[in-house]
Amino acid sequence: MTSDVRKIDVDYIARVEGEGEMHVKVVDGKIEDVWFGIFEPPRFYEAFLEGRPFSDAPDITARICGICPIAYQMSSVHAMEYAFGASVTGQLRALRRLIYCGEWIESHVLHMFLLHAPDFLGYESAVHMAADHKDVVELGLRLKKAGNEIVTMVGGREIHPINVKVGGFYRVPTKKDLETLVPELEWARDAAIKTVKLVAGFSFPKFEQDFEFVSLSHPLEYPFNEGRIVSNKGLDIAVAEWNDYFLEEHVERSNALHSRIRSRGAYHVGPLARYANNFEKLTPAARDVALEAGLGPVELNPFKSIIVRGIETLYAVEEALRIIDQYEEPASPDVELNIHAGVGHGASEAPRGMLYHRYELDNAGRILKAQIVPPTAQNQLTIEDDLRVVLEDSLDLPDSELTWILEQSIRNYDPCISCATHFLNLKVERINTK
Amino acid sequence: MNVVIGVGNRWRRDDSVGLEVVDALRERVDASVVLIESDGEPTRLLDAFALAPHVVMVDAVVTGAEPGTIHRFTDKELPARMGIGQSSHLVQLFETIELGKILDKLPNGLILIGVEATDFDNGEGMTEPVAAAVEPTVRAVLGELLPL
Repeated sequence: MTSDVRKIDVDYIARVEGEGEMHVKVVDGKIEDVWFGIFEPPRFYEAFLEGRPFSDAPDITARICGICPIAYQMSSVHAMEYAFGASVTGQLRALRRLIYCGEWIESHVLHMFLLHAPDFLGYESAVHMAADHKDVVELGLRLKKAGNEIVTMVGGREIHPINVKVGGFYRVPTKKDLETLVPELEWARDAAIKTVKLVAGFSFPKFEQDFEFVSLSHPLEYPFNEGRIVSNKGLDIAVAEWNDYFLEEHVERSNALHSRIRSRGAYHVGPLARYANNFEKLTPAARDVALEAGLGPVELNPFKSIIVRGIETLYAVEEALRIIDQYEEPASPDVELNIHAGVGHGASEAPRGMLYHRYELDNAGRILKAQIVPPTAQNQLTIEDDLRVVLEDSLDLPDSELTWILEQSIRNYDPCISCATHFLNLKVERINTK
Repeated sequence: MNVVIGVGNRWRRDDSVGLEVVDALRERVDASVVLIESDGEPTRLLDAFALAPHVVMVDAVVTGAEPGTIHRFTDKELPARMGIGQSSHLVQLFETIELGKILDKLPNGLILIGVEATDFDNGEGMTEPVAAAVEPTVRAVLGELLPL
């Protein structure tokens, strides 16, 4: 028996906000095992939150992810407000959408330009790509900054925004404050269109899966904070019913929980799912640019998620401009809360997919139990399914090329740094018994 | 003007050392030194690089040395391949520095003071050798500041 085991380790420096591992086992040319493992901080945070006041949840959960703190803040405040029967409406609600626009722009642009584009253009990293495509990287950096500026302005701080609270905000920006963002956002609108055209010109592997796309859906808006949980296969439930229809399972070899739809299995959250379930809610310009880029109203090729991220970036820029245009400073930065015992559910659309929070609270508003279901954990089974199919087609490739296509496949899902993976250790094990 | 950037995550134990050093510096420097906290996010780091011609960064590193060891690198000494291209998600610190070089966004002098760290698990509080390295690291940073 011979065996050829190749392991690639990355273990140099800090920024260890999450770790991932992929393991592929091929015996006599047949795929025996594909495992994408993540080490998941939410488990730690769920335990950490117990016994703390409800008001700690937005700040503490925001630290789970360096890239999408707003998503964690939003899902937690909505869950708490659900428990207390509070309703945040009008301009406060609009400001929440605005800060979410900022986060989508930041996160999508970072992923498109610095992480995913190098895969498509044949560069090992953004650094290698920048040497040949300086203008592309500069476009990305400036566009991302337009998102940073929104988050900083509404969130109150550059990193770990601190201005969001249960019931609203600690302070709200003036109309004048927000208007300073407008010129750069107007530039960003054109830049986002340019970005879509750029990434739509990449070449994409022929690859489609019969996904069950799960996302929020709201009758009037492309979803950020509110809506029912729907799928393209008939699911249509209230956020509070999450645990009745979804199941989190412990999987051997990983401390992460995989999610599945009860009695059905794997599902897909993120840009492709939101897009498929909410195409009609995009702005007319975003719809037109999508169709011009060759997308249909539903896109089944996960490699094309990079184009959809571009479309959602355009949407977020246009939505931010609309919100700023219609903004009037609210009389109060928050609504009053009637604190009592209860159970709260919140779901919002993190850049990489739906993020569900559930809290049990005692009469003083202390957290008795917390449940946090990050998007990457929900996509984990789907990622493994994709990897299996990609592998079937690519087994003959040398390990270096195989690694490339598998990493690219994982990056289709923009796995969360912290709720999923930062260091990706890839292990391809080929065993020949004959 | 001098700029000192502490990079880290307070909720990942030893990874907080860069931020702890910046905290300690607050009481030791005057307004001519700009102190910045960073989570390593590349676009904001590149903006911070642009603030001054001379920048000192402090971060946790893992090189296999004794925990608490203080390293000093200039941007020119950083191994070119270090950490590049393997991240599935975040653009790493060295990648950002390399990116800054290519995009002409690096200060003339970029010094990285690295503190050898071991525990990046979830939670607050550093391991003993890393916590003990904070004060010597603060002195090392002060030694790197340019006279006004």
